Amino acid sequence: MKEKDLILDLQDLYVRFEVEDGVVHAVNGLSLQIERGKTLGLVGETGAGKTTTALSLLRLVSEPPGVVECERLIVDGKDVMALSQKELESFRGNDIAMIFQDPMTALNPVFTVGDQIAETIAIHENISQTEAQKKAIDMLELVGIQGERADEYPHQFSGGMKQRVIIAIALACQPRLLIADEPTTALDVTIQAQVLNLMRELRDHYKTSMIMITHDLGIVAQICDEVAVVYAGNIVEYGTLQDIFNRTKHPYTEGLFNSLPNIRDRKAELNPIKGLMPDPTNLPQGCPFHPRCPYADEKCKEEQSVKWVSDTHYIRCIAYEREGFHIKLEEKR
Amino acid sequence: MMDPILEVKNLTKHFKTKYGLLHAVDGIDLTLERGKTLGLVGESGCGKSTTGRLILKLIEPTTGQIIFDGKDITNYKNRAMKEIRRDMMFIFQDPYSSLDPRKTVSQIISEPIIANNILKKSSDIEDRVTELMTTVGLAERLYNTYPHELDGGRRQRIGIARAIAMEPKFIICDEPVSALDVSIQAQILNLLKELQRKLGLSYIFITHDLSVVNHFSDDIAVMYLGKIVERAPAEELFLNPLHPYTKALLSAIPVPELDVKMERILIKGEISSPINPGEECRFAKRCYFCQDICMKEPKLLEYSPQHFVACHRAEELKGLEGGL
Ligand SMILES: Nc1ncnc2c1ncn2[C@@H]1O[C@H](COP(=O)(O)OP(=O)(O)O)[C@@H](O)[C@H]1O
Ligand SMILES: Nc1ncnc2c1ncn2[C@@H]1O[C@H](COP(=O)(O)OP(=O)(O)O)[C@@H](O)[C@H]1O
Ligand SMILES: [Mg+2]
Ligand SMILES: [Mg+2]
Repeated sequence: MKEKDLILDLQDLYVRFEVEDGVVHAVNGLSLQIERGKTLGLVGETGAGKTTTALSLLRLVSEPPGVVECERLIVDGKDVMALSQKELESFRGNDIAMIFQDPMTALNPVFTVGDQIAETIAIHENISQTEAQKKAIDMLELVGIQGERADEYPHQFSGGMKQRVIIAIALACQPRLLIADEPTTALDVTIQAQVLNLMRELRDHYKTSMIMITHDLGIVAQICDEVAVVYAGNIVEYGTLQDIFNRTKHPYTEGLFNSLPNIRDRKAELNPIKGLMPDPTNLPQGCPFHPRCPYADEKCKEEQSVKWVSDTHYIRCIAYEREGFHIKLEEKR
Repeated sequence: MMDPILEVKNLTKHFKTKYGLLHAVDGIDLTLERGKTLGLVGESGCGKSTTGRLILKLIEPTTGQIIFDGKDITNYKNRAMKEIRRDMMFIFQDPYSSLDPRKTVSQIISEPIIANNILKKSSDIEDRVTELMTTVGLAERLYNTYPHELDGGRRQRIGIARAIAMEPKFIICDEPVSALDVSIQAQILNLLKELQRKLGLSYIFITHDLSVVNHFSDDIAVMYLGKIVERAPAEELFLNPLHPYTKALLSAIPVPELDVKMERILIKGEISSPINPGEECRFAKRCYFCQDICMKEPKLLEYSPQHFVACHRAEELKGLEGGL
């Protein structure tokens, strides 16, 4: 079999936060492989562990209170867990870059946007200040902002424009792997559409591999090749877009779809998942979703393992094998 | 039969700022039928929340008229307004900032009952609070907890319990589910619908989420820079959007389905400043179909029965992509 060309190979990531009230089990044995050039969607609700997983890839989880353990973390061939502090600094930016949700906090209010882009370029490429400034202006224009505005400060920019600046900074060094953490959540829909378009174009242009973190399955459908659905710190379903959207197998994924209004049928009822996310300091035994799962029985309280349902598609669920189990979603479509 | 619970005519709010007059709400007309939901959509800053606050008379309009339940309340003051206020309630996006952190769940919910002297005996108040908590799906054991101990979904339930405590006729819901995860969002939307059926409530539902507003509303009004640019029954608006801005909004919805090849109508730039707007159509700067005629502001006209649009070129653009 041909070896896959992996940009990311993550094996058994565990992250816990040891805080006053107990131990928060944020990521619980998560494994992930991404082929070079692909975009993976990391989907799940608040507290699922998406951001923590992403920060772990950059070794940016604050330790303490965090404790990060993993079997293997290889990004673009580099053994990230073995990198020195100095090596990590050049690794972040050159190999891997991250765009955060809130554009307000990611920019420094006392420097012009041009200087901030130029600084990133200067750190990562061995070029003069003037050259870096010139390249910064090019980057601004690339993300659809007039070059003249390089001399302005972040507060003079709207939310959508700030997010463009952040994208420019993230892409300035042409990272191999770009992680975008809810990059459009704070933006209005028409601006979101513009920013997503821009990200898609730049990704295709630079052939960047990408992790798109989002809670919005609509965004996943637009920009991802593969999808990992995360619940309580682990992937419960993984597959191609087709697998996840048209061959849904996990009850949690089904619950997510059934919670969304159907744009073509106003009268269709919403079927929310009952209950709430589990407390990460006290996760349920076995499948963490079983207390909310309409298909669960006693067996679901036991340790769960991965079940491949095709070459590209796996779930972490045993109810699936039970007689009479079938996802109601398939009837609806 | 037309039986409006609320009518708003030429409602206007201008704020004085150091840069000039900010036209937050600029002459809007709305009608809400009893027992129905009117959705108010548009991007941030277009004037949705200000409209809500004007209707509840939390702020005074610059001009315009508000007719609630048959009474012109535009000039109602303290005493008269206090009576009316029992019938009109507000549910906010972030229940946390609107809930007093020093009060327990039961104290928050009982507040309007006590303030309005509805019940006096403490055992009656307790019973009523417990009943309200059950109605909105809050477990009784949370009676003495504080809002900060609870998640966003439960906090929103507290806000809803308080809003229905006085058995109002009308509630303005301002982005009530925008801060919630989808599974919790669906729970709250279902709860609001159930309460509407049970209590005969009329809602104004403010949101920037097009799929939610479509699911939740009977009629939808689309706002842009203080103006209503289009208004129609929900189904009609989604099938036959007429205003270029509405078309752009609808086409920007990230639909969670594969192989939907919707014609994307990307619009240029961003919302412009609401300060001292000119004579032209408010959307002209971003509109791909802008012509000379658009330098004059269009009126909101009834294009077909119950379908209103403010665009000079609505007729010509009718066939253009944009509906679902
Ligand atoms: N620095 C921290 N200290 C304590 N708990 C944390 C910290 N960072 C994250 N967590 C917890 O870890 C869990 C996962 O959080 P996060 O990765 O931010 O989830 P997501 O991005 O999916 O919303 C949550 O329960 C969160 O409260
Ligand atoms: N008290 C106020 N003083 C000055 N400007 C205000 C005030 N309240 C709202 N605005 C402005 O009015 C416009 C409409 O705001 P708002 O109604 O909150 O919009 P939305 O709810 O649609 O996001 C915005 O430009 C906002 O900055
Ligand atoms: Mg996050
Ligand atoms: Mg608002």
